[in-house]
Order: sequence, then structure tokens, then C-alpha cells
Amino acid sequence: MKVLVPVKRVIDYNVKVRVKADGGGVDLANVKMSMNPFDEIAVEEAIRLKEAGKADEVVAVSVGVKQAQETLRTALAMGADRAILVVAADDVHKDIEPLAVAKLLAKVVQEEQPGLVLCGKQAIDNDMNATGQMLAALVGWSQATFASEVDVKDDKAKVTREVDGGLQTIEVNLPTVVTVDLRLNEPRYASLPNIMKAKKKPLDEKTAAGYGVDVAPRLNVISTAEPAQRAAGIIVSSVDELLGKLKDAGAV
Amino acid sequence: MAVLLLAEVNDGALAMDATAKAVTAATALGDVTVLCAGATCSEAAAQAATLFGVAKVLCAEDAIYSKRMAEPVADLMVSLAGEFEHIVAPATTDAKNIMPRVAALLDVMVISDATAVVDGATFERSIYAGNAIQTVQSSDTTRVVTFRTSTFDAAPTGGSAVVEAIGAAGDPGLSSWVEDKVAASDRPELTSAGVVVSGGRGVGSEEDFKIIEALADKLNAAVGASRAAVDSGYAPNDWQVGQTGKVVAPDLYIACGISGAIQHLAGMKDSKIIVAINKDEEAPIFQVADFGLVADLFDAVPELTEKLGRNDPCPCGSLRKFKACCMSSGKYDGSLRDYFFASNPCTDSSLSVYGVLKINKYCLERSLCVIPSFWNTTVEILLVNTGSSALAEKNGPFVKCGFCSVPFSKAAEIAGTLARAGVPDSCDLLFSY
Ligand SMILES: Cc1cc2nc3c(=O)[nH]c(=O)nc-3n(C[C@H](O)[C@H](O)[C@H](O)COP(=O)(O)OP(=O)(O)OC[C@H]3O[C@@H](n4cnc5c(N)ncnc54)[C@H](O)[C@@H]3O)c2cc1C
Repeated sequence: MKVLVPVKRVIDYNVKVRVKADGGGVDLANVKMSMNPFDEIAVEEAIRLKEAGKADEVVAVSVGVKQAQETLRTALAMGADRAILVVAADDVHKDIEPLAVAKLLAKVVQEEQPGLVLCGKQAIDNDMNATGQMLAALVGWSQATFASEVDVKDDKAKVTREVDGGLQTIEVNLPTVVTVDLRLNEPRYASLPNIMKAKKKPLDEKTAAGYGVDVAPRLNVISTAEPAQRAAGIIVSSVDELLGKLKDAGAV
Repeated sequence: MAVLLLAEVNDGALAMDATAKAVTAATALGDVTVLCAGATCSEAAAQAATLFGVAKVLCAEDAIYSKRMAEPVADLMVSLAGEFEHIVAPATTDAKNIMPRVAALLDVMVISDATAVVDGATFERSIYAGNAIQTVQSSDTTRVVTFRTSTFDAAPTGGSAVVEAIGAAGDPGLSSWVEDKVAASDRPELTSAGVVVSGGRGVGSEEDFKIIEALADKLNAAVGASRAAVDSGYAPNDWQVGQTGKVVAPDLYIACGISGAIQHLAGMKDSKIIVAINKDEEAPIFQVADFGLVADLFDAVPELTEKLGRNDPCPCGSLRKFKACCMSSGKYDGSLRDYFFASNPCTDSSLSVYGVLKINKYCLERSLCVIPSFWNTTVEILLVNTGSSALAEKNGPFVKCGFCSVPFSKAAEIAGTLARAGVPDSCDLLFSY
């Protein structure tokens, strides 16, 4: 079985995000970019499936700007076998919407015929939590979102999902799209030799236009603003003082 | 303009709070038709029909919807989509599973976790873990939106929409349900609780999380956790607060042993009052805290738990200070709530209520006012008027022998009014929450 893992290049989760003064978005020039943390978990899971003999090839795919090559190299260094970059934008500030990404991924799915697509449940930049579900819809597959456990057996996958009330286990027919949550695994670090090897692994480049997919946004961003700041608080020196303050504020 | 709203239904029961909040958001968009889907959901549909702003409720009962698997529910929604400009839902994990699928099938974008409605096409939502607020305008003809429940008030009840049963849309047969692992809890729900007490990695173990839970129980609060606490196995996944967990905005949020990573702040920084207890004075959590206490949580949290309510009137109704009454006599075992209900048990087993207060005009206000820590809790009140029914007619929903959801403080107020109006001696005030 082939596993396809879509990965997104996003601002590193440790970087303090700054909104541009003109309200035109978030400043992404010269900031550290990394693979979306959820996608790292997806890559890790795919590699583990391969190591367990349940998958025979792991293909990483990224949709976005040319620089997403770096993200794909990270996936290759972790252990993916080859990569596909679908260039869909030339400005790093342009976020391709989940619907357009899902359409492009659907094309890749048609070409590659994977038995499983493993993706992150959400990208930590636009926080949409949509691409996997949209892809599943477009290709007419089952979906298993927010996975904390994935067990692939024959033509089915048993997936435990993190839901509001606790955990839910479902069984889905393969091929399927699984979106992964934080507790699925702990992604490995790529070793230096593997980083070197990754440079020689195949990385195909395609374009959105080549696939005939319109990536024009459906959501027009009118403004991007800083959230309201909280007023400065105070440090209390004891539990008694804290209780007093809370009583004064009518909170207890 | 017409809106189709997917109600949150779990095993036939309507999640009233989440659904009612989404109804508030949706009424700004047009006439709201609520869809309840489940194996059985006529009760949920009847309940949804009482929400103000709901014009109609569609009730789709079929075994294929029993666990609300994304594929059949999305197909059902797409089959109904034609007449609606908006298809919306509360941003629960259930809806986040289903709605993007619906959107893609309709070839439109989804607007996830919207925090405000600007107009029919324009919505606000937070991005980058709440570091920026984006206003987006949709160019799609059908707008598929999920609403972040913490930013909308619940629609009140008292309406009476028509309920229409509809057929199923067919089973794509792609997936099946295996099991749910849901921990039953007496505590309020995390996303709707008035008070949340959260623990982080600093709590150190599952065992020591009891310290956090004891404080929560004293405050009738929900318990939350940081990702680190969940990853380490101290707390279950459904307690996680943050960018990728639950978003809460209670009146009071108490963070214990949580450093305040941006991903955690994303889930709680809209709380009204934030308290941080952390032994590291440099912890970023202090930057968002209204009240910060630099202390070891193993000292501070139990002390806070113990001291809370000591000077309040005793829950037994003696009107003496708690510390001079049941607390010192050792009758109190740690949970004010349990104690209160134990002192006022409900004897009618046909009612799923937690307590009964015998009320008359002398004792009523007093009995209800003794527990300030309840005041922000929403309780369901049923006033069974066993006396004069003329009074019942006159005083609105409370005395119509129906359930009402109100904050406890409000209940006290209303009950006070009733007392002054002259409640007969034979009234019982039943409440649950
Ligand atoms: C993709 C992604 C998504 C994430 N989503 C979330 C999310 O939804 N929610 C979330 O919470 N996190 C999330 N995180 C994780 C987040 O970045 C932090 O790692 C996490 O919030 C840290 O949890 P913590 O504050 O409990 O632990 P730490 O950062 O380790 O902090 C522990 C704190 O406890 C204090 N402490 C220790 N002992 C004591 C004591 N005895 N008394 C008092 N204080 C003590 C320490 O001073 C420290 O400040 C996410 C991360 C990523 C990458």
C-alpha cells in the first residue's frame, strides 16, 4: 500500500506572530518556517506503517510556494521515499485555501492511487481544520479525523478519534483519509545522515495550472488585526490576598 | 435568506448549550431551520424547537445517523442544501468533522470557527492560535460556517417551531462505528462552565490532578488541562484547552502549573478573570493573568480550596459562617456541592433532579442565597406549584411547571420575587444542573 502525506510549510510554532501594521496580514518575511506540527505526526505515522510492513511507499506532497521544497526535504529526511511539490503560489504571504489544496490533492490521489492519505488535522497558521475532510469528499472516500490511534488491517482501518466527549473508535473502508491529532505519536528527529540522503531522494515539481485547478480564493481577506490585549493584571502575595481580590471582583 | 443549522445531537440527546449558541449566531443571517439527525432524535428536535429564533426543525431519524458519521450526515445535508444560503453548525468536533465535507461536496469553502458575523457574507475568525483576527468575505453562493461557541450567548428558550420528520439520504457504507469512550462526569461541561480550573505539567501526575479537581469541585467548576498534562497522561484528552483543544471563555479561569504557551492562551484568553498559580515568576501566563500568585501549586491550591467559602453562610442553611458551623463540626467532606445536595435531598425518584428546596415566603430567599459559589452556575429550575395555579399562570415560565435554564443567582432573584408575591407553603423548588 502506498501512503500519501500532505505537508504544509507554516510559520514555526515557536515564533511570535506579528500582524503587519497596515492590516494586510501576518508578517512572514524572514521568519522561521517549519513543517506544520500535525503534518510531522502524519509523516511519522506513515513511516511507522512502512516500518511495520503495512505500507510499501511513503509519498510526501506539498501545495504552496517553491520554498515548500524545504518542508518536503524534511519529510524525506524523516523517512518518506519521494516527494511531490505542487507550486500554486509565488508569494509566501499567499495561503492556498483548503478547498483548492484538496482539489489539487485529489488530482495527486488520482495519479498516485494511494491506499491511505494521512494528513494533519489542522494547519497552525489558518487553523481551518478542513483539508483532509474536503479531500475525502472530493474523492468520495471515507474519512477518520482527529486520530490518536490508527490500526490498518486488510482493507479497513480502525481509528480512535479525539472528540469533545472523549474518544471514539470507528472503522473505515480503505482507501481513506485520516487526519491526525497530537497524541498519535511523537515524531522523530531526522538524523544528519538521513538529512544528507534526503537531498538525493526524488522530488517532482508540478503546478496548479498543470493540473487545471483554479486556486483563486473563495474567501477574500478584508482585514487582519491584532486581537484585543488584556489589561495588565497584578501579582498577589498570598492565597488570602487572592481570595480577597476574587471576592471583590465577584468571582467567587 | 435561509439558514440550515446542524444541531449537536449525541445519542439522541440535544447538546443544548452548543446548539443554542450557534442559533444566536445564525439568527443574524436569516430564518433558521435546525436539522437534528440521529437514530432517534425526536426528543432532541422537540427541544431544539423551543429555541427562540428557530423557524423550523427537521428531524431525520435513521440508524445510519446514530453516531453521526461524517459521510452519511454530509450526504444528508447536501441533499437539503438547495434552498439555503447558509449551512452552519456549532464548532464542535462533530461539526468540524462533517462541515468541511459538506462544503467540498458543494464546491464551496468552509469558514471554520467564526467568532463574529459581520454580514451575510462576512465573518471574523481567529488565525495563528489567536494571534490575529481575520475578517473574511465569502464569494461563494452557499456559505458553510461553524461558529465558535465561546463567543456567542445561548439563544433563550420559549419558542415553538414546527418539527418536520424527513427521510434519510442513503448510506454510502464507507464507515462504521465501533465504540465511544466517554467518561461520565457530574461536573459542568468544559465549554459552558462559569468557572474552569486547569492544571498543567506542573501538576506532575494523574494522582496529583486530584488537587486541581478538588478546587474545581469546590467552585462547581469544570476541569481543564494543558496539552503537556494530557500528553503526559495526567488528564484525558477532552480536557485539553487551547488552539487545538477546546476554546473556553468562563467568568473565572484558574491556571495551575501552566506556563502559558501561546497555544494554550488561544483557548482561554477571552476568559473574564484569569488567575495564574505558578512557581516561576517569569512564566508567560502571568502576562495574561488578572491575578497572579507566584507559589508552589502544591501549597497554594489546597490552601485556596480549603479557604474558599469559609466565611460564607453555611450551606446547611444555619446562617452561621461555614467555618463556625458544618466545616468545624466535620460534617463537610470537601465538596460544597455534594454537601449541599446531601442536606437537601430530592425524595421524588421520578424526577432527575439533584435537590429540593421546600420554599415558602420566609425561607426561600435565605435558602437560595447561601451558596455564592453556585451563583454563576446555570441550573435548571422546576417550580412545582402544588398550591394555587392562578399564581402559576401569572408569573411566567417558572410557575408553568416547566424547566428553565437560568443562572443560580437569577433563580434566587426570581424566587425572591415569588416569595414577596406570596408563594403558597406547598411549593417545591426542584433544581438540577
Ligand atoms: C501543534 C501544537 C498544538 C498545540 N496545542 C496546544 C493546545 O491546544 N493546548 C495547550 O495547552 N498546549 C498546546 N500545545 C503545547 C504548548 O506549546 C505547550 O507545550 C504546552 O501548553 C505546555 O504545557 P504546560 O504549560 O502544562 O507545560 P510547561 O510549559 O512545561 O509548563 C509547566 C509550568 O508549570 C510550572 N510549575 C512546575 N511545577 C510547579 C509547581 N509545583 N507549582 C507551580 N508551578 C509549577 C512551571 O513553572 C511551568 O511554568 C500545542 C503545541 C503544538 C506544537
